Amino acid sequence: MVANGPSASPVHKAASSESANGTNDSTNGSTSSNGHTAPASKPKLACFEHDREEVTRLLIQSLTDLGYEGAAASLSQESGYDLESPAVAAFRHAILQGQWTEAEELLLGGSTEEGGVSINGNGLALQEDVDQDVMRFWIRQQKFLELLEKQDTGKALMVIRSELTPLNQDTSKLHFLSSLLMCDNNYDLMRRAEWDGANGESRNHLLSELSKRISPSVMLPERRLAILLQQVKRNQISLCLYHNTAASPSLYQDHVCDRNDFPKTSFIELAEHAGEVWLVVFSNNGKRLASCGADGVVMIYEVPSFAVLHTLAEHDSGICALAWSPDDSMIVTCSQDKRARLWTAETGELLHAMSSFQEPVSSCVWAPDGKSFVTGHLDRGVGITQWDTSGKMLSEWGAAHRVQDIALAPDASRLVAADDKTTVFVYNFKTHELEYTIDMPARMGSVSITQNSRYLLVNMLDGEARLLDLDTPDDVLRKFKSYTPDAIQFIIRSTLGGANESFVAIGSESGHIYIWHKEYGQLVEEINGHGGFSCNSISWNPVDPKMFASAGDDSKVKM
Amino acid sequence: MGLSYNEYLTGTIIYGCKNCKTHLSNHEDIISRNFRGQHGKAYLFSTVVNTISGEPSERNMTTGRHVVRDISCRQCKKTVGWKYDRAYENSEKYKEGKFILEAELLCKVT
Repeated sequence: MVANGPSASPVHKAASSESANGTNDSTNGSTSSNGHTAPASKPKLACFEHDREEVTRLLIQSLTDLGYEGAAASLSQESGYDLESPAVAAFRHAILQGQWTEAEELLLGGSTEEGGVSINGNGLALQEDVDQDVMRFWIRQQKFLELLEKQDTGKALMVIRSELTPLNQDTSKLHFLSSLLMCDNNYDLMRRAEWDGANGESRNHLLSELSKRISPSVMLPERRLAILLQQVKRNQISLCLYHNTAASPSLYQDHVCDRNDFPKTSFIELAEHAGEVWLVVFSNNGKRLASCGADGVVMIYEVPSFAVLHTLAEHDSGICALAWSPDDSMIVTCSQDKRARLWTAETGELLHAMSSFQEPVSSCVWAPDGKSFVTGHLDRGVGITQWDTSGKMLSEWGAAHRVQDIALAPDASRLVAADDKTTVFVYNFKTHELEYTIDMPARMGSVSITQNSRYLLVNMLDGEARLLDLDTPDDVLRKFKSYTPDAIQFIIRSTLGGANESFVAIGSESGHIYIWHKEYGQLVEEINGHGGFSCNSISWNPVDPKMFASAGDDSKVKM
Repeated sequence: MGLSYNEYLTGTIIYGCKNCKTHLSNHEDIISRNFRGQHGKAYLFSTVVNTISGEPSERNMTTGRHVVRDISCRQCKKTVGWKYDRAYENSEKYKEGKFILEAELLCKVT
């Protein structure tokens, strides 16, 4: 049997040896505590509808994971259940100690005598449809790499020839491993093999990969109870329609968000603008709010007092769009006066006016490093240009189409531009190359990309918004049909927001605000925000998910 | 209302407002070139874009009585022609819902 516990194993795996030893002489141990019966006569209390053994073993594992190893050992003693059988403990030990031959035998059975260790057995129960040779390959690959690390190329070569090659696995992988024989030093080896050495995490990693193929009844998957609880939480959140908090729900009670906590009533109205308000945007830190519109003026408000800090009034005509720099220190504004302008957000001072175009500048986004920004224009031939913060044009992107709105993926991989008709152009942000185009069924109002850079939300002027996967743009993931407008002429923008970006908020010509659940495509709320006046844009406070701002033709910004 | 950009046409020849070059109609949408307006030659178009219409009024024209409304450029607000709401003569009914743009107030834009 196993000689001694795996001293080198990390905390959350250390229970194996103790529990394995513990049960053998458990009769003495448990009687010493006050009046507990011996495990032989376990009380058969109902364990609800769960299997007693499963629950007990889960508890032992999670006690160990939490660091209560004594409690885990005594639970194991009292119940008579082991977290793992001695064979599993031995296998774990063998892998972590680098005893590869034993590990293979323990895992896959067979009896060979080598190096004085003799093991007979049928190996551990595996998952169905597992290729044993694959598992062998992994073990031998680790052995090979460790030999290389020890500079023992001779033995390593033997392993390749007589142990790895006969398994008939992926030949390109084999070639790659052979090529590692040429590595000059260990640093080079680890870098090329993406492997962190015998003293790194590599053995644990190997064990973790192997254990996924072992039947879970024999070897419990890692951190099983924590994963189960996580699933419960996620499931409860997903069933919670009004879920709008970033905090993880308590396990003590079933989670449900109260509808009354969902933001749906306006608590403040800002009537600073002299004309229609077309866009509101919270700063990235949620401490400022900017609005702009037909009067050609940008208002910057302090949050949460909503006092006006600055009024930016240089544009000669309506302002279509604005964008906060990543650190909120600057703002770019785009106007129908055919120019973009750059301002400091703190003082409201105009830094630069970009050179003028033939047609309105419609949209802008900042590069994530804050050193440059990109504007979209309705000019044909110069749809997209990139500028630095001194107002110098860095490049024209060669976009021959007109651009009505642009969005940049937060990971700076792709830039998406909507033209003035029905085509979405997807560019590589770094190379400026056009990757592909998407045809939409109607004219568009806005494009936006989710925080994970994966999904694209396109709002169309026919009252429908669509969520697309940028990796597989041909499939429409979800459609949010809010209303049918009288005319498809006026730009209504949609936005993503709320806790975990769970919601899609869309304004409408009638002034109603439609809030959809992004994942479930369900209408969560319909709010009569601007009573008869068009609601043009919504911005969700990135820090406080219970607050969003809406802008309307009634010259008002509402919270 | 709300934010609204001018519509951009895609025809090979586009007529725009002479004052501000805003697109008004495609060459292909001309129904007849045989019209006259206050400034001389005028064309009848089936559709126009980026215009705002005024109040309807009854006018006696060379071809009879019509209910028309002036149309002006949405961008610079200059009058560019008129729209026929109603024609009283049966022979002129085809003009209903169509638009006149005066050649003198147009320019070709690319």
